[in-house]
Amino acid sequence: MANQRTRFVIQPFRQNHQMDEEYATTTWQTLREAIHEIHRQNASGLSFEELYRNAYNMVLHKYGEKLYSGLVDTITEHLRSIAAEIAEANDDILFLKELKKKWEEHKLSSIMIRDILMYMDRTYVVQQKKTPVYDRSLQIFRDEVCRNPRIKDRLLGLLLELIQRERMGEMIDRSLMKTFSGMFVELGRDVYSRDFEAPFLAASTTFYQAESQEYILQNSASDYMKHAEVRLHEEAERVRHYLDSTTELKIKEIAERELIAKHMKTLAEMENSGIVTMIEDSKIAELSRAYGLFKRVTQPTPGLGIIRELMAANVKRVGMELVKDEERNRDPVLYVQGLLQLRAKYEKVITNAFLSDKQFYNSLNQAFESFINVNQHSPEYISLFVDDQLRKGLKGTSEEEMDNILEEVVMLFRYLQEKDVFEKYYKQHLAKRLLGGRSISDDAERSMIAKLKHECGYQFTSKLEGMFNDMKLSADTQEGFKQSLGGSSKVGGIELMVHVLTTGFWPTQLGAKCSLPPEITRCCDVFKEHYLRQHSGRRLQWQPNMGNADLKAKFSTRKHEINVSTYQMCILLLFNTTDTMSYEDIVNATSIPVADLKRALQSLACAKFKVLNKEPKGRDVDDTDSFSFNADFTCKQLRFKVATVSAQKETETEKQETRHKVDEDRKPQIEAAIVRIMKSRKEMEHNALISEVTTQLTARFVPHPNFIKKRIESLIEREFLERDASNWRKYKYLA
Amino acid sequence: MASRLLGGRLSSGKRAPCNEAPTSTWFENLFDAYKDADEQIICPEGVERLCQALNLDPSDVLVLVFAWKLGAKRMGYFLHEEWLAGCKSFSSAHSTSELCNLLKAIHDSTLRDPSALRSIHSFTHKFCREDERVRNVEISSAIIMLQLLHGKTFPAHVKNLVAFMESNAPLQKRGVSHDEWMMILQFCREVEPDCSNYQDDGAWPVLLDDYVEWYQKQQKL
Repeated sequence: MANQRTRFVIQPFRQNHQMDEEYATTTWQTLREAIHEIHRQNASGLSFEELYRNAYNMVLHKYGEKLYSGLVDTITEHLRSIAAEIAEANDDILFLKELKKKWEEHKLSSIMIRDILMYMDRTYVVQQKKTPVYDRSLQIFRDEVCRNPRIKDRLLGLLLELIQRERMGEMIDRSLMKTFSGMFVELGRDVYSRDFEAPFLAASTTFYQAESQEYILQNSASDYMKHAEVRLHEEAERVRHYLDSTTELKIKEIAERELIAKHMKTLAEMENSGIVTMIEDSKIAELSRAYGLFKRVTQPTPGLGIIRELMAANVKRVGMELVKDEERNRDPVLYVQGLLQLRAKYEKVITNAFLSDKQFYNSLNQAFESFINVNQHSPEYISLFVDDQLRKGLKGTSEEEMDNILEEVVMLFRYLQEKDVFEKYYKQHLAKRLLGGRSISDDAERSMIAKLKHECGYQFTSKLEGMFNDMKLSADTQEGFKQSLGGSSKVGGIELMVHVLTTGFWPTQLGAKCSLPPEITRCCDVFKEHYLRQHSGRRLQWQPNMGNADLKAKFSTRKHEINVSTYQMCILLLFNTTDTMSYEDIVNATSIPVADLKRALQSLACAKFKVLNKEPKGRDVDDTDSFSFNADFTCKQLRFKVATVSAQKETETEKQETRHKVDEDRKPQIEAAIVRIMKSRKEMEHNALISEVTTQLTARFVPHPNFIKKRIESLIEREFLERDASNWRKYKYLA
Repeated sequence: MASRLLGGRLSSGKRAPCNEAPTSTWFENLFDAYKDADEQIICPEGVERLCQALNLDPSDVLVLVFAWKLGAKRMGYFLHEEWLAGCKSFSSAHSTSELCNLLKAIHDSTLRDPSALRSIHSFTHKFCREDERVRNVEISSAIIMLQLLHGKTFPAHVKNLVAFMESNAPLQKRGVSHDEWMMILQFCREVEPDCSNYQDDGAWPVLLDDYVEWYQKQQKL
């Protein structure tokens, strides 16, 4: 069947006519003429169709080679004359304009020529692996014009000069620049980078090197940085406007290196205007600029590291001065305020200028930690500051403001290494506030405790919370006491208010005893009986050092109500029966501890309210002094309070006592930590154990290694641990 | 080890297997010669007579070695059961001079054997305690024992340690704990007399830290 079908075969049209050599030459002549016309910008009279056909025929008849090489020769010849023409221009601007014109013309001509020779591009060029017509045409332009010895260097020189002039502030023809940089790119990436970019970068390096060195000598750091910022911006703009985008990173790197990286140290440390000064003066805008500039530098040293170190060193220096400042050490409130202000200042700088950079905060915290612990009074002072705040509670401070202050104080607390010492003091101060009824707001108190709890955990505040609980229970007890006495808590005309404090929660002083006047003792007994009836088996111990009393006193002119401490009350009541008493008599009659007695007498006889006369007169109380009732005492107020003379801060002996107490309290904590660790690890080398114990305890305090060692020895003694028989540096847990 | 050495030296004599009953009735009978009239115990007065018989000063180190071998619990007293338990060590002794020589030999070998030295050193601490309940040894006894036991072996250390202990008031009060006592021996053996290789790496008891500090201060003066 297939054979039947193919009976009628139509032969394809075959052109037997072979193009001969001569005909080919005439065809090429036609084409060459046309190319010349195109180059002369005179292409309007040409017939595209005809030229295309001619080229087609030549390629079809295997004259592709002739056509291609003829084309190359023609273009080369043309561009040579063009190059010579351009090079002739005397005037530089003319030269550039001419070159620009010729380049644009050449591109246009090349497109036309490519279009005519399109068939060759599709067949001959592909088969013979030649360069396509348009690209070849540009190559010839590159070799004959751009890299023409009379043009190449002149062109580059002029371009760099223009850029230099723009850098100096002149307006230049940016479109001209754009044309040339575009030209380089079109001529090939390598042409751009070799013939233009590399020299440009080298020139920029030299320029910025020289400029920055000169500028930094003559200007302040802040002016320099402003300038550098402008320069960096300019370079970015330059690339955007007329350079290839690949150059952006490179020029940025150079500018950053020359303008910033090489001068960071100088800028930072520049006297009177460097970064140190800016930080000290809280120049937010300038620091923000410095941050932005320095952040760009990561090699060889990160720029921000320099600022950070400077800031840390600065904080440390200022902080160290502050904690050692004698005046501030005399006034704890001033001391803590100084710390708070210092912190606020740097915090503001970091938040506003340094974009709240975490690493900067870390450096700040480390710096604070380092100097705050240098002064071993810091825990006491911070607690005193809180005491001051919660006592008088700045008038007109809202709850929110109060909370902010406390929040800031807790921040300082966080820096303390000896948090347990703080706890000791806080307990003492809180006790005074609670028992004296001096605390302004229960809410503020509780909020502070909550903050501490959040910081250090339940254990840290459990006793503090116990104190609050005692206060609440005491109120109930007092109510019950009143009920039991038939609605009045008066015993023999004396109204009695009792706070029952749980031992261990409160900073009770052991041995703080005195012989109370008989009428008071009677009151105490009544209460004791009442209390023990409800809570049998408990032991009540009176703490005269913590109480206070309201007395009614009759002087020669008028009556007064005086609020005094329990000790002062004991002393004053003695003068009900006698008018004059020697110091020794008072000691014997009251048996108040010497230091407390002297302080009480001093506040009664030498301070603002001189209820007693001292003989001889003087500020201090001596063992040989005698005291008498001052009947001529006058005072405007009906009611007044005799404050106990005492430095708000502790005395030296009290300090040692507190210190000792803290050390004693630490012993079981350290031992517990050692045992805990050893129990889980079974055996451990000495140094590993020490470091583990330290880590576990840092939240509360930083124990000295020797202190831990002593505890280990004690535990060996008590057979909780033993030394390994073969390695005495290793401990084993004894179950 | 001590008994093995002795066994070798005295191989000509009767040698009894270790775990058999002691054969030296002479030694067993020795107890009766010095014991208290009423009780099965040798009292200080008896010990003194025993020392005389052995031609030893009661404070001689050999007396300490004797007590160690017997495992005596209390200074100046030997219980009968202690005596019987110690018989094994002294089975080869049949006269006071033999016993004395034996003690010398034991002492010599002890000085050469670290673990034996540790053992007698540790024993000394328990032996010197005034009372079962008191854990620390008084400084005065510690000093005597230190000189007695190690005076010849570590002359420089012992001399300095003694001077340090005598000058240290808090130490006088609390005495020396067993751990500290053991570490003193370790210290004498490990550390050069001039303390140059003392490493403050922390594991030494505070007592020895203090000592080295004291020593170095003394050297500077």
